Amino acid sequence: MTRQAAYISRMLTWVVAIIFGMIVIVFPAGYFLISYENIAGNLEALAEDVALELSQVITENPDVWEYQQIRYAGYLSQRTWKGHEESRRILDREGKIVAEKSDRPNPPLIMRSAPLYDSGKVVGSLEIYRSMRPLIERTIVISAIVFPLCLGAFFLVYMLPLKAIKDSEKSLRASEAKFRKLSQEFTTTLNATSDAFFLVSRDLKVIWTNEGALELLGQGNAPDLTGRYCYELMHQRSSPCPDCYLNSAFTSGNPGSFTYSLPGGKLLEARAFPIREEDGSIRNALAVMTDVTEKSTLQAEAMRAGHLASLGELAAGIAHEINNPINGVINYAQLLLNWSPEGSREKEIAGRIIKEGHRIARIVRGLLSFARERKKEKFAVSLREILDDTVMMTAAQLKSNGISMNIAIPETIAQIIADPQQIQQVFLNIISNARYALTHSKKHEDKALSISCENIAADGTSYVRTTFYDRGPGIPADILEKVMNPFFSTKPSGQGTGLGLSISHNIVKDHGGRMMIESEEGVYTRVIIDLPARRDGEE
Amino acid sequence: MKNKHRILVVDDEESIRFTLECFLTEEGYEVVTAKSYSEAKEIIDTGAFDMIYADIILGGGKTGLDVIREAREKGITGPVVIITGAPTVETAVEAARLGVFDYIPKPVLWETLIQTTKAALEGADPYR
Repeated sequence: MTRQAAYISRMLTWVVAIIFGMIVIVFPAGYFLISYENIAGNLEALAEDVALELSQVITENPDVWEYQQIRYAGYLSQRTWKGHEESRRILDREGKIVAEKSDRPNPPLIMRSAPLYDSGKVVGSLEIYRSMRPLIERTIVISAIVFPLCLGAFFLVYMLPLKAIKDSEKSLRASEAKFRKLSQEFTTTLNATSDAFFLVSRDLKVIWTNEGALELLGQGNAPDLTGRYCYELMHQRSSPCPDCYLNSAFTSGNPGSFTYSLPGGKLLEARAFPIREEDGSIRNALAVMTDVTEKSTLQAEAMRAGHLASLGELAAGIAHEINNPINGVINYAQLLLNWSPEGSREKEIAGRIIKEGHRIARIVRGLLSFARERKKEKFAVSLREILDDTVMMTAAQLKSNGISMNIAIPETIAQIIADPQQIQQVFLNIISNARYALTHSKKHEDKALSISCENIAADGTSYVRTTFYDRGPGIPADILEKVMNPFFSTKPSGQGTGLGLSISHNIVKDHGGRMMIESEEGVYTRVIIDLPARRDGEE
Repeated sequence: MKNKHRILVVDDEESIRFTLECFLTEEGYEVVTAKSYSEAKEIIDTGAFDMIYADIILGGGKTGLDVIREAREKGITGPVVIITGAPTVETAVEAARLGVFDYIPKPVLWETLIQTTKAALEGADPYR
């Protein structure tokens, strides 16, 4: 029972008890007093009447009135109310009894007296006694009737409503416990989801959040967010965002959604649900935010994979078509070479045609191997071969952009266990980034990309380290940590997916390797890829 | 060095047929070319061959493997070399099952052609 309810109940008990207590006392007491007054009045009147008649007798016999016993007996034996025992006596001036007639009424007694006159002079008095017992008995009977009646009324007026209050309070408590349990379950459920929930008021103040919201804002141990503005929390702004989806939800009364990215590169899908009050007005809205970075990454990767696959098919088709004519070109040149005189210009040119034909054939082979169905199989492979193929596919492009390539791969370089196509994808991506950076660099000299390989050992594991080094514009320190995040791109919109390094990083990680980027803005960028070297007996 | 081994070259690509014929003729072989499976079938019906070069993709839904089957049916037991612009495990396995001598991806170069032919017909080591 709540304190308030207990107080009300106690007060009610007292009030009702006092009321009924008063009824129990006042009613019989009132009856008694009124009846007593009535009896006393009657008795007094009677005494005066009888005294008057006796005074006549006294006046007729002035000197011997005390001896008129027989004449008095009639007056003293009269009874006004049948069955009421009385005692009447005549006293002289000294108070001595002259005559008496008594029914011996039961005490306690009520007495009224009246003076006796002889020619206007008081000579004695008349006293009439009557028993109070019948009145007391009636009062007791009335009390005996009033008390249970009041008790019954007390129960009706007090106990039943109190019981009803107690019952309703009990059911209130039960429903409160039920709601508390529901609320706990609800809160636990909301806290268990990784989505962030914000309940906000119309002025965009946070009323309530779940734990997901704290996590989203990186304030796991932070105190309450309530009372703060959502634009201040989410966007570090001092005023509402111009295109606020929550405001739209308040205005339109319909749910709305919005996707946006946080400064750290997180991609959020936010949905707003206006909450209608009973009168139809909207005072609050619930904002639900889901981190869709991974989902979007997967979607984008899938799209990119699909895109690559169709590009691959196209490349394979073209490669097939080129294969036959290039075979013809090489062979025709071979014939010319065979038929030309030794040391002639024709023989030299035929040799050059064959050489160039072989270049085309190699590029076609590279395209075919890149486009071949990805089986994601890892096997022992030479890193040199993968790099050679990659360089061959990109050399022409780099050259056309005026970028020179320095490649240093020692003979002793170890083999790796890898899916060569995936590693090639990583290398292509890094070379493409370097090419973009060098092409868009303001520096015009020293456009060079150096690629080197070495065997290293770290943490008890042997790795093959491939380093890509360029003296391009470099990466500003404040974004260096973010470049491997999905969707992070410094390229103008539409020129990059922001996925290249993220996918490359995942591929390297999948191979048990690591990828590191070192850079100094305006000076250099170095991308280091360590892939585990093949151990003896490993295939 | 003059021998009269007869070699059939089946390829739908004119430049391949022409250059292979030139290379082999220069080496002293007698060469007959066919541009399709049906043409190859007619030629096989009319004469015997010591060796066959067949491209995998011949058009008309036929492949070099069909040419080999045809030749084997006609009792030609000499070495057959498959040339292909699109080497796949499936065709390589099928070719091996039909007992081909070699399986060369395009481009088929002069040196490779001469070495393979000599190895097939004269027992020289093709991988020397």
